[in-house]
Amino acid sequence: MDAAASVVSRLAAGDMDAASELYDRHAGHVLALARRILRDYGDAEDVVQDVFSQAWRTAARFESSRGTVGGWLLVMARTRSIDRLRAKQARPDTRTDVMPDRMPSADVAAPDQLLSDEQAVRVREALANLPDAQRKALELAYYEGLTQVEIAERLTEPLGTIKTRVRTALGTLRQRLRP
Amino acid sequence: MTMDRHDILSPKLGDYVLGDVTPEEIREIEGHVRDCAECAAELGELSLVMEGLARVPEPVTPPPALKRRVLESIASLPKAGQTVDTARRGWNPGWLAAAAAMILALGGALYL
Repeated sequence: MDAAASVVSRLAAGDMDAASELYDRHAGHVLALARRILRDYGDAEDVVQDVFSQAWRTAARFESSRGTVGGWLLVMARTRSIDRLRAKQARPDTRTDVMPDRMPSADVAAPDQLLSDEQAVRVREALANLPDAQRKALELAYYEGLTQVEIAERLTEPLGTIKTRVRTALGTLRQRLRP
Repeated sequence: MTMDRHDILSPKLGDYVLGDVTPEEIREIEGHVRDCAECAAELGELSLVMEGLARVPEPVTPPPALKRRVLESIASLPKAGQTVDTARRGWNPGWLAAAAAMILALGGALYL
């Protein structure tokens, strides 16, 4: 078992030192993502608390073969942040959460590799280099949790156009996982 | 010619990882992906892309008080799977947790 997975199994056994280690390693990324989505420092800190509490409760279900520990925490951070954003905006939640805490243990959606630091950098660069319209559509979907129907309404564009943009953008980012 | 399941479902994999699908679509997609190596590979890559997007914002240094707050909040939670009794006792030495995990692991192994 690698070090990261062992921290989670210690967490599952109720080890507070493991919670502290996990926090030290990942809280900066979790907080950054929550701030990006919520654009509110207080709400973002509440999300950090929610995410680590959820990790504590669900650690036994984490499977290291299904993704990185950081990825697991960040999926929870995105879901929690978007839930909060929608509640604040009184925006009815029409999404169906695929990802929340069950994503890492789902027997589908299992990457056969883990995201490396270089891949993370390449995804970031590829996002920055997308055509503006594609990047905007993907950012609204990922960081604001808008459905493609909502994106089409907001941008007053046809739904088919938005779907094409999001799909093309994701395809480009997928390509960039490979050097 | 009618489209087969793959042609209908593979374009929805991106919607799936973004959470923009109905419960019905989730069932269909997950059912299909179990049987389709091509879609399973694509879904794996899309999951990595999602993690990449999550890591786009530069990590920040959390305010020091936040760690204390998070750990205190965790310490007040009962553990999943822990008996009410253990949670209520309010103390939980490491060896006891380790022993409990060991017993659970052994139990799991025997069960399997």
